[in-house]
Amino acid sequence: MKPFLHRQSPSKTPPPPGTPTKVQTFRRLSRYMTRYAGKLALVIGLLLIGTILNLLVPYLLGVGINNLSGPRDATALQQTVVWMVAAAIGSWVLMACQGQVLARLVQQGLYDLRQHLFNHMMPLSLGFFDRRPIGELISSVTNDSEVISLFFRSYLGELISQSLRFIFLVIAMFWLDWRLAIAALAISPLFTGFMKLLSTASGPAYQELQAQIGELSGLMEETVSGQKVVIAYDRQDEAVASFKELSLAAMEAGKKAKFISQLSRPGTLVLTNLDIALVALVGGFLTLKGLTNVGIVATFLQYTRQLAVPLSTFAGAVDPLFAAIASGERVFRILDEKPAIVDKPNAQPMPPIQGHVEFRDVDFSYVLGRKILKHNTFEARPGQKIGLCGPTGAGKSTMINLITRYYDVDSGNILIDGYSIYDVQQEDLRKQIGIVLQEPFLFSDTVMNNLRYARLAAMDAECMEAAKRANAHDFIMRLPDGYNTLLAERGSNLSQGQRQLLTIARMMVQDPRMVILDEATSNVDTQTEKKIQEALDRLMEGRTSFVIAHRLSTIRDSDLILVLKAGEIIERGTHDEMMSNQGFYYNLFMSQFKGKLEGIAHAA
Amino acid sequence: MGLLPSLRRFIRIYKGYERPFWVAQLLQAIASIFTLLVPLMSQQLLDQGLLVGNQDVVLSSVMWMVLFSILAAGFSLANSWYAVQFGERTAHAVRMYLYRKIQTFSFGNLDQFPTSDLLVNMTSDVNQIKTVVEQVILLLAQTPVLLLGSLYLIYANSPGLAWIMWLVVGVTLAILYLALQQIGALFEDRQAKLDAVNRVLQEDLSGIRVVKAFVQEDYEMRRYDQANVAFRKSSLRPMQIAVFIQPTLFAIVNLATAGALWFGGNPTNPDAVSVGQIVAFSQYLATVLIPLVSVAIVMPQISAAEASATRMFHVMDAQPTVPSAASPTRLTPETAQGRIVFEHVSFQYPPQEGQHPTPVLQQINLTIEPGQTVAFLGATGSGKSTLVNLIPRFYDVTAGRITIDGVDVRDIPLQDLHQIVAIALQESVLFSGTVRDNVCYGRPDATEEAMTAAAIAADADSFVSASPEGYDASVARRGANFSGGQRQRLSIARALAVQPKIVILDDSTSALDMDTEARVQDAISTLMHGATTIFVAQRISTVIGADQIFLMEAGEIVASGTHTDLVRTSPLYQLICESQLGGVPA
Repeated sequence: MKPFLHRQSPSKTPPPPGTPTKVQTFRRLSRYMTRYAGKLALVIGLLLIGTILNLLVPYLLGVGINNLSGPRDATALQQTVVWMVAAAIGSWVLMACQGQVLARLVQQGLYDLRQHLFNHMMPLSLGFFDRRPIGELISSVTNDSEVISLFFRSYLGELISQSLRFIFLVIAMFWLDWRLAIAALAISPLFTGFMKLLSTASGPAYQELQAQIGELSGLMEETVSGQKVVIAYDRQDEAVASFKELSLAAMEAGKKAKFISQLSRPGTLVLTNLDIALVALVGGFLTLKGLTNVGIVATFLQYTRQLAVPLSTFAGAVDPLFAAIASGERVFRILDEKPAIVDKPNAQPMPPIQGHVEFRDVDFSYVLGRKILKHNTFEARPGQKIGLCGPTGAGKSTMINLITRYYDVDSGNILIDGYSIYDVQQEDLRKQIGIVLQEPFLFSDTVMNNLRYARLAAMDAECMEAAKRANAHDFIMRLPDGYNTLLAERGSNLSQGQRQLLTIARMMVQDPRMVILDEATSNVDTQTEKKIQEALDRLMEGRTSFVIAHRLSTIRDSDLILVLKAGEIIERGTHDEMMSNQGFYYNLFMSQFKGKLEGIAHAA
Repeated sequence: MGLLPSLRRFIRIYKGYERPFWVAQLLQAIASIFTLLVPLMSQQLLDQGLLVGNQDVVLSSVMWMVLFSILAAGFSLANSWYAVQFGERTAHAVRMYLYRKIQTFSFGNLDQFPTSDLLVNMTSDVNQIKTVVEQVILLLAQTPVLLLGSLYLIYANSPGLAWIMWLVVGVTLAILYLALQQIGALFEDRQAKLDAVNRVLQEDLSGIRVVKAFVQEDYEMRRYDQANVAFRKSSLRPMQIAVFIQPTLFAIVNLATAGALWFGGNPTNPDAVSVGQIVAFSQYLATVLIPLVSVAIVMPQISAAEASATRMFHVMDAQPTVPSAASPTRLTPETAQGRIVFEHVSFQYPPQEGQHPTPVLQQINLTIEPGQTVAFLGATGSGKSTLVNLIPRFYDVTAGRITIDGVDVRDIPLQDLHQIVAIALQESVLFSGTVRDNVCYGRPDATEEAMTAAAIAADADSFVSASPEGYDASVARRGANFSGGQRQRLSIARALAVQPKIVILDDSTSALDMDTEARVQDAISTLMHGATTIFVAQRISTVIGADQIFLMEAGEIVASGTHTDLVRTSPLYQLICESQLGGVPA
């Protein structure tokens, strides 16, 4: 029995309508380079002259040959050679310069792309991130940028210079002898047709490849980040087997896609060689008829041979180009995402929150058809502590997502101090609400920097003060480098509880006007929690706070407790009120003793 | 060290696959020979055809050209096919190597390698190596064949000019060698900067909630910008050198052409050559240009691949921190009783680079009898989770030993050990697949009854059966389509399904409400009758019914006993009771 294998074959899902063409995607990618018009113009200018000089060499060769065909003139020969050398060196200098300018341009363009992508993602709404496994997003972004980067780094310069070369060759050929030029250029329509054929054939193959790579990356990320479970249950062999299957599929897809695009090489080879043959034939014919001379034919053969260089460069660039375009499509899909939660056009800044919170008949679902919250209505006065409890999946954490506008309600309204949260600026709102989440998240940075994250302008002393109030100061001082200790990625140098303490301290640095604790203390043992409770109580004094906890002792002293079950508020009141009602809350509370301590001094 | 040490080491994986490789090279060599013959025909055309006005020679030369072209293309096609096969197979092989290696990792190794770095290894680095392999196969035979072929033909035709060719070859090789040297180190730096950029990205994507909670999007953009700029600069440096290569090669060829004209055509030169020979020579030079240009493009990629191969070996060379049993003792779930003894156990985490080792457990001594239900309770960072992680050997003790039924856990093969000890970790991770796949993860051959029984005991059966597909319902990646509490219960069911002799639940009921937790605990003790059950917890409610409670503080056991004992004797325990239950029970 192997998990991981239940997925729809990616190629069966058709591409979404309105998919841009390859050319459109390429143009959009190129814009990252073309925006530096000045530098680009310089590059092209240098390339122009450099290529002309480069092409002078075979031309001068022809001159020299003609010289040699007749009576040999040493001085003329010498002159020709000197010019050739000058052209060669001149060309070198210009090409080298253009290379430097181009390198800078390409790297700048790629930098822009990466930054643009990142800057676009950050403000996107949480729904975007929740919908996608992180691994896929990351490898899509990093892989795809690398593939795009490879094309521009390695092939762009070549393509520009070879295109120019091609143009000049054509001009030179026509200038020399238009008949031979036509013979030489007979290859062009064939070449273009051939490339078009390849492009059409490789399209679906590349899409399949991308899909397979995406699957593979997803699996990789899932198991590598969940590797501890794989180890704990000794399922390494199965993991390898599942991976092997996907890897093989990716391999087959890769073979197909790559082979098709590799066809460009032998194809170009045959076309260019046939071209030379054609030129030789026509040239020979014309010479024998006296319409042209050996020297020109020699030059033409040289030029036609030279034609092979840009053509085979184009052929060699086909694969990286197609790959870059495919990656470009994925990147642009992200860039085309719009944030789901936007401020209204005339959104007001949120004045300092007093804390009067109202939920009016709020309904919400993450996924259409599965309601998480139904008809939630309640009111919290400024400074009150509201406790939320209930079975898991009842919708408590969801409430938090709604107050902070990470998601928008389906119907109903949420008001703070009489302002609908949909009328105010989101950032203003969030800055004033402090949240401590269930899963503590810290950056792999120093302790001090993590604390300061809440308010970049906070001084060291303020952070330490906050840490003291959260009772994190003691264990921080016991760390090897104290506040300068670097936190590791998987956090093995801190326990879950310690990490949670740090997040609480961080919130204290923020000093918010409203506080939300999402089961924040369930990973912290109750001894320390007691001290944190005191500090939090101090913090919550005068501020409205929402506390979600399974440990009912945490919310016992709330001004109002809301009991949520299956998305509805089934019971509400103070602890005392509900205990005397002996309803759902009463049962919940009593179950923590499990009948082991009958006769306990009434905790009520 | 020599040139490209990692790539040379890498090539060894091809042992046994040499034959297809050489066949591919042979095909390319033949293709190249035919390509060389085309300019030979040009020469013939000019010298023996046009210059003397012989039409027949002209025609036959052209025909030969056509023939040679087609043959060259045909062989080149075959070579391309091989190249693609090779490249993709290589990618597959390298991916498997790395993945298999990661599967041999223990917890200690995982701590050493951040997930994002490993992912970059498996994707970007693998791609880099694959690309180079493909390119090498396509070019390898071509370049020397064209060079040698051109040299031979020049010798045959115009020995007087041959020395120019030698000069060209020599200078070109020197330049390429120099470039490779310079670029190599620069690429390593580039990959390191790429790692840094990706790390910021991964952190910010994983922690996006925090970024948004503190409205720090702007700050993060600046942070990313910094890493991005550093990456851009490190990318620029190798590219600056790489762009020199091609113009230089062109210049060499141009100068050589000039030289050919001068030395070949100079009337004072006794070795004066014919016009046709000069043209042929310049044709051979141009012929050589094509592979040289390709080499110029591929060369920097070779440097990049070297850097990638080095990183790959960094992972491959990691030693598992938990070595396999040297003298394995068979202790099966059938024969095991479940008696756990800690003897003078101390532990500290393997230190990361540049960090001091922090002692986490000190002198732990305890005994757990078979079938007991015990609990570890303690303050934050007291070492509870660390302690229980030692039992299934996720880490090895740094002093002392742990025995199960008298056998040191280090002598039990890991596979057996993990059948005897099943643990539901603090972080409940599920995998994509079906619910059934996940619950039976530790024991794929579990019967339907056993699986259901485990699920019932974990209070997971109720919500699983409530959905239309039941146990065949699909689990999204990371179990994202289930709530935190549901994931926990499935994670517990998974541990129970193994039917182990020792069950460890590491804070795995934290997301459950009291009611559910109580039910689960009762059900577990019924299902796992006879098994040793260990709870690691924060809540008194979890531990209250245990046969033995171990109270931990700062890596030591400060008190142990039943709830009643501890209430009487331990002030710390009394304190906890008071804060949780609001009063010490009489």
